[in-house]
Amino acid sequence: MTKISGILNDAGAALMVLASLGGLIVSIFNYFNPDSGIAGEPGTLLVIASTILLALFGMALAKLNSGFLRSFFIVSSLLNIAGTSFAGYLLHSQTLVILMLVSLLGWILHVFRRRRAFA
Amino acid sequence: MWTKYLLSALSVVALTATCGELRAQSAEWSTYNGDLAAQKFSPLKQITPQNVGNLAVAWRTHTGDVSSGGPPSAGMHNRPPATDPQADLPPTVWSATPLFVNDTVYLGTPFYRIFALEPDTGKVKWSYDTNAVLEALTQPDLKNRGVAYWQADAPDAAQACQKRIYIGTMDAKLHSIDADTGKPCADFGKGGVVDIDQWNVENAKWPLSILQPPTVYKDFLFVGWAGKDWADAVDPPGTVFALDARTGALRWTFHALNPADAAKSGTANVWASMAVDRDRNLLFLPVSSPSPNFFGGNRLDAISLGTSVTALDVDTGKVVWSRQLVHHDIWDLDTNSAPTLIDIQKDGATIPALVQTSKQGFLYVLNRETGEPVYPIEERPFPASTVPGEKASPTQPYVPLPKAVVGDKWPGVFGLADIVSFGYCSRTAATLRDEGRFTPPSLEGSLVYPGTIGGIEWGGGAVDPSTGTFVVNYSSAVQIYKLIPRADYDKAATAGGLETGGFFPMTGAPYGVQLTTFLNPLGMPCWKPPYGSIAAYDLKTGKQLWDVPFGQVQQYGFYMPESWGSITLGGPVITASGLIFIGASMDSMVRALDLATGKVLWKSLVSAPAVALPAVYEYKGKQYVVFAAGGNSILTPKVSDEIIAFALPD
Repeated sequence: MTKISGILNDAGAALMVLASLGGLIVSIFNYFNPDSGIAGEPGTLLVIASTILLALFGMALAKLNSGFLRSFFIVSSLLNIAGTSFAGYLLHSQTLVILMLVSLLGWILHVFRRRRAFA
Repeated sequence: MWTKYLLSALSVVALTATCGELRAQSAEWSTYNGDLAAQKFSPLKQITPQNVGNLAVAWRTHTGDVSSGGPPSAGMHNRPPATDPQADLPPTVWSATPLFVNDTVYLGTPFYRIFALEPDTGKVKWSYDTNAVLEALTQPDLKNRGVAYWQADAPDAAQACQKRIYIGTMDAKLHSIDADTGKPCADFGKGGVVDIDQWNVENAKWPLSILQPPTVYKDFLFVGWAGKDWADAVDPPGTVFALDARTGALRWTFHALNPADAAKSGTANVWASMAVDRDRNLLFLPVSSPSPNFFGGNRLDAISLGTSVTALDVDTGKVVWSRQLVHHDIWDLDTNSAPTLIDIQKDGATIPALVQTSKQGFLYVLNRETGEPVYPIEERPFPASTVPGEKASPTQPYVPLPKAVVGDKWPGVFGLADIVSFGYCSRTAATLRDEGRFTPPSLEGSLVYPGTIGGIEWGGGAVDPSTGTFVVNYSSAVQIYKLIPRADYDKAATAGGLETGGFFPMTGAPYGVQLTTFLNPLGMPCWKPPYGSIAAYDLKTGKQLWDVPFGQVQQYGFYMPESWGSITLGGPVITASGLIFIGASMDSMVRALDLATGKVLWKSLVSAPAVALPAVYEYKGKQYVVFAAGGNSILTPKVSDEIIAFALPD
């Protein structure tokens, strides 16, 4: 409950989590849909894993206020978003790319809202 | 409906009146190549460059005949082998061009079944099972390139088998089936089956696999076969059989090798489709290389019909002319597609010509009456072999015009592939023999470009007979040919070290061979892209009109940049409206291109690479484009049993 309320209090992190979960659903659908062109492909598995990871990062960021771990997750999230977006582009999964852009928006909101909060 | 057909045919005649008698005038797709001239041209115009973007799936059907290889528990095959339900099935390769004739779509499958489908819905009218042995007897995969159709001059509806479908099997059986009912034609061979292997009487090490459907003309079936010319030095010698279409009786046999050569070599067979010039009563054969593929020390005397295009008299099988395309072939550069017949307007004259595409990337434009070049072919010197016992031909035929689809030198090391492999590509290239086109196989390993999978494969090219525009897709692939002394090869084989990696024994020759595509350890090509392209030529001048990368490489699901193109298998067809339809790429897309520019106007994902020619037909006033999406392990492991038709929405 604390975790959920933490996320809800942080619109940026919430957006990251939601977008990454959306990306996860899309990628799972692509993995099992024979008409997706990327069904059963290792690249699709990779983005399934990366979107799960991104969702976890988003949840962690909502909980962490400062410190090394927070910095680590901020950088890792950004790298994850960039990598997943690129993978989505190469997989021709436009929906995943759009969701990663939404996730990036969440990341920006989270980072700058926090900065203002700590200023 | 008939009025529409007639008007369509008449309009094509009017537009192309200067181009002779070869043009397709039919709304049907009655042979593997659309017509006997192998033009792969449809006169239909309903689908145009302007509306092709609206193309949608009209119907799709799955035959169930597909295997990704391995045991039944591995999934992806729906029918166990007849002999042992638990046995492994080889993977399937499905390169079948669907036929549309007799108001029905017919296709053969890699399990050697025939399906007759309704042309507007894809519903199965009937299917026929040859109950063929589903074993990789001569090929690594279960493979089929479709079926053939014959009908009597004046079909009598009261009699059976006035219209027939033929399918061959890997175990050399040719089946004749009533096209209306799907029942075997009892008057053909024994109970509707002719065993082609009854004529496999010399060096019969494996069955004469009938993977390519027969070529049908008049009341003849012209039957070539496939084998495995990499396995042994001495193999069944190449033959083409002419059978009676009704009874299966043998009318004549063409022998590619003389008896002396047949005793020490083999193959030079015809495994691809053939073309027929109806007016000149000529049958054109694409003849493959003699065995073994990569060493010719056992066959140093010239085998003049090996790796050639050869014209036979239809009625007698006698050679009218033959032109060898590669002398003393030690690269496996089989002539691999039917030549395209086209009358060319050149210098104010009409030349009855043919265009023979090739793995070596040359387009041989020949006078089909005489075999003489329409554009000059030069004998140029090429490197000698350094392998003991081998003697490469000092010269080879070289075609300056039309410009070859691939260059004389390989494209060079691809920087990205080299960097990510820490210099593997450049280090390896430095150890290989590389003297450009026709560098002979060697003991240290030779860079061969184009190699056996490259240049132009069995799809060949297509032509618009009204303009003389010839279109062909091709691959730019670099391979490494390394001969291994027999003792070393056998020792490694005994130790179990040759199970992977492209090893071919050539038993009976002093060398085995390792043939690999030049990839880095990550699987990236070591040579610069593009890896596949499509090009157009004006046959009136021999000039290239355009040349653009085609398709996309897909690795681990990731699509590589369009500018890299894709290795392609399969070929194009052209419609009179100015469109090219083609599958062929490893990204499992089928595409429509603008004939004028090569620009992709439409594409759609199918379930596996469509490595066959599509068929274009009209039924009840609607134009359809049909692809068999079957896959080929040379491109990607992805296989399917899907046949899919596209049409404009109502």
